[in-house]
Amino acid sequence: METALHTEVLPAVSRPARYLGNEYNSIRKDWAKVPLKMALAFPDVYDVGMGHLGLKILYHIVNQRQDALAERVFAPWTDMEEQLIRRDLPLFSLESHRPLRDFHLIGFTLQYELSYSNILNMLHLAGIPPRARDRDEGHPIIIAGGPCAYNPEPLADFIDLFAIGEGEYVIDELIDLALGLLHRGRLPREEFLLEAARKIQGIYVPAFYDVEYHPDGRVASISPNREGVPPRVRKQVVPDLDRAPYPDAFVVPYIDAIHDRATLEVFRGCTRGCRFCQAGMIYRPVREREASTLLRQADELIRNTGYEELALSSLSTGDYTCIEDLAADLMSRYRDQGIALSLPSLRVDSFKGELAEEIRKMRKTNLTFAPEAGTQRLRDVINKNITEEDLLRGVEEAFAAGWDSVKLYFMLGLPTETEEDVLGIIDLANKVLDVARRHRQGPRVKVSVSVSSFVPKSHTPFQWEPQASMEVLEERQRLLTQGIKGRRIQLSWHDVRTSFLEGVFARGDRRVGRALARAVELGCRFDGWSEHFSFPKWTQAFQECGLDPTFYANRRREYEEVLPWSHIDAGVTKGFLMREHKRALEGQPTGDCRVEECPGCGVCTRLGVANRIVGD
Amino acid sequence: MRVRLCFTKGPGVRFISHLDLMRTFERALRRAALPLALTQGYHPRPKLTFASALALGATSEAEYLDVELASPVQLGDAIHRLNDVLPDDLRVTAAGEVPAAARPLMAIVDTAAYELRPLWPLDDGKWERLQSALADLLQEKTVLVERTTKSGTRQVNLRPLILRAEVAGDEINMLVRSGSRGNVRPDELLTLLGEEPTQWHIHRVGLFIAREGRLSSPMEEAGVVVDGS
Ligand code: SF4
Repeated sequence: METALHTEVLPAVSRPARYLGNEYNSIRKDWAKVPLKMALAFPDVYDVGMGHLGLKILYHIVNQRQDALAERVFAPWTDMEEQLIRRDLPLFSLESHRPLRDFHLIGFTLQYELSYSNILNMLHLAGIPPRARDRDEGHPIIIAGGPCAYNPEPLADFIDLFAIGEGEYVIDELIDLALGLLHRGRLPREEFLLEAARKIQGIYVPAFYDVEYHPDGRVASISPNREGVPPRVRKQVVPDLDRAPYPDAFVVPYIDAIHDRATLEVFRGCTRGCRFCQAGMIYRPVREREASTLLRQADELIRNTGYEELALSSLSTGDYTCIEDLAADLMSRYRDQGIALSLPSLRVDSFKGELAEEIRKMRKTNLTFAPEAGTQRLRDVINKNITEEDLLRGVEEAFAAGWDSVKLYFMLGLPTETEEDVLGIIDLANKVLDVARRHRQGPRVKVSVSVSSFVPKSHTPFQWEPQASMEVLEERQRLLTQGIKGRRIQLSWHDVRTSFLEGVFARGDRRVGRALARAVELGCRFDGWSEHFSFPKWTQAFQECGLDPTFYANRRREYEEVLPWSHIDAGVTKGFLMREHKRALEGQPTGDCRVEECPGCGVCTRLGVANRIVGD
Repeated sequence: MRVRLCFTKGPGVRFISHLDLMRTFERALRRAALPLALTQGYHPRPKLTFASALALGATSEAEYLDVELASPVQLGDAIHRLNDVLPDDLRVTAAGEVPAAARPLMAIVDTAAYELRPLWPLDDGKWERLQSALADLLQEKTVLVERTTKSGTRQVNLRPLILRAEVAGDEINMLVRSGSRGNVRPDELLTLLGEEPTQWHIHRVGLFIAREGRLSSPMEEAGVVVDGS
């Protein structure tokens, strides 16, 4: 049906196909026949959000049900936002083009701290009060989940309910609860929140917790203010991925979106124990899928989507027990159909000659290596168990196998980092280039060096560490640019100001939410997009709220301090994180419990879910 | 086997670009499990060629695409399989086999017919004004418009490219050059008439090959044509 959206709004915006909602495999249900309506919201533009696997899984789970429907909504791009405001149209869902207000539940995916402003902005555009306390019975329940929910506090004022951990089962539990409470199409807010917080593992309702502060601004205590609400909220984990629901079809975008391809989640979790890595801590334990499950899923996805690319996605895909067999199997199945296989996060030591050869036959993908730090000393500190020899061998094999370029990932500002470590990055890049030159000639030979700034995250051994100041980071970036000679090494880095803001939210407390709300009022949104990011506005927002952002980003915490996320239980124990932190400072590596002895992180014993390695 | 497909683009997909449309067809062909012939090399791709890009926002009754297949298929079956897996509002209406040596579609298609309808009823007297504006325009020998390309702006004389244009009832019908022998975009014509193109619905009725004083459909080149409707 042609509506004002089609005749007036869509002709006026860029990439209008973002908003059509009728893509192949999208699901439109009859609103009159389905009692419970949920919107799945992603706080970034369609092109980015459509690539997110978690969203596809949840869309599938909810829409599988007869009694519920899920529709998508993404952050409208700024030209669309302008149209909505000008024409006084509320933000709408893609499938039915209904206002977000009409849904019972709205679930936001939290992938990145710099998309928080988009959440508030989306609520605002939907005509829903951004602050939870301003909402009433008539408003949808605002839910959030995803990795950033492990420190939910900066969003505590805006989100009604956080789901901590993996979403596959919790979403059904929430919908069942809501269906039981629905009365004449309305969901009683307080009752729903209280029941959810009391009965469902992983549910955190910030309004049911009081936070007290010390005069110096540190958190003194976080305690429930309702009976029956858990003092610590423990994450949900899916014990067996082979039994977990997984979509047999993805919505196929018209426009060219990120990660627009069939994706297999080969396993979840990572036990390598890199100490900077939040994903490695919060997604424990490792749970692999059986190869037979993966082959079936690949088949269904390819058949139902027609994608030309199949990706294996996991935290460290090369660690999959039968990765070579799996990759070879998939390649032999799909090669003749011209379907490329991509293995995104191959690690140096999982990269072997034959596999490289097989991949090359199929398609030249970008090869990336992530040594993360420039010297062995610092790699020991962060527990990135890669030696220079490993790296150079991996690169050597790649160039020998026909690649012309590789990309190396590093971080600046890691704990204990000195200038020597920074110079080590240049040194390593030069050595890689030397190897390249031994094997390859021509103008395409290139080493890309991508340097991000380290942001300490909650639930990691570095959660107590100060983030390097913006001045120090810039100084080290300068050191790098001066040290890298020639055009064969291409250096790229991140804006230190966005990393700083990310750091503030990553370890911020509830009060940070005030600055967030103010910044959105000042016009901040799409902060992850350099063309929209305005640091001065953020500075102003913090100032006006009487908050010092460096207190959150650049301060060292004591072990005794009550951290703003201390009521969130990610499975790993504080004792383990402290041990790992101390070992880091001593430069002591810790082994991978998949192959070596158990370092006692606490996950398996406390959650009753063990590493699940296929073939064991 | 080279198969020529004729398809419609309905209102539900009128906002997908030409590039998006190409990708959509590639994927639909794969879903339909047709035996696609692939290009050689590291990035094997199906061999698809489209006749002519349709403007964003426009609908069409007859668009064309050639696809190379690795082995022969039954045309009626191919139409059904494709229509089962195409997004709503993209429909294959006919298929035919063309000789492998046939010239590419975009090299032969050179004429397009459009119907332009306002989204809202026009004010009294507006149609008459449009009619005379159109008549004035057709009187001219040169009608210049600016085109911006990657290599800068240049002026194009549209007049010889407009073969016919008339107000007919509550729509404008036009027959223009489109493709290898020059191109008139319907929105350009509307702008020349003082209209805001986004307030009009642009519908392509057909694409043709002008040959020996008559317009033929690209399907005429195909031997057997199977109607899918
Ligand atoms: S290998 Fe290290 S960085 Fe990668 S996911 Fe595992 S712990 Fe994180």
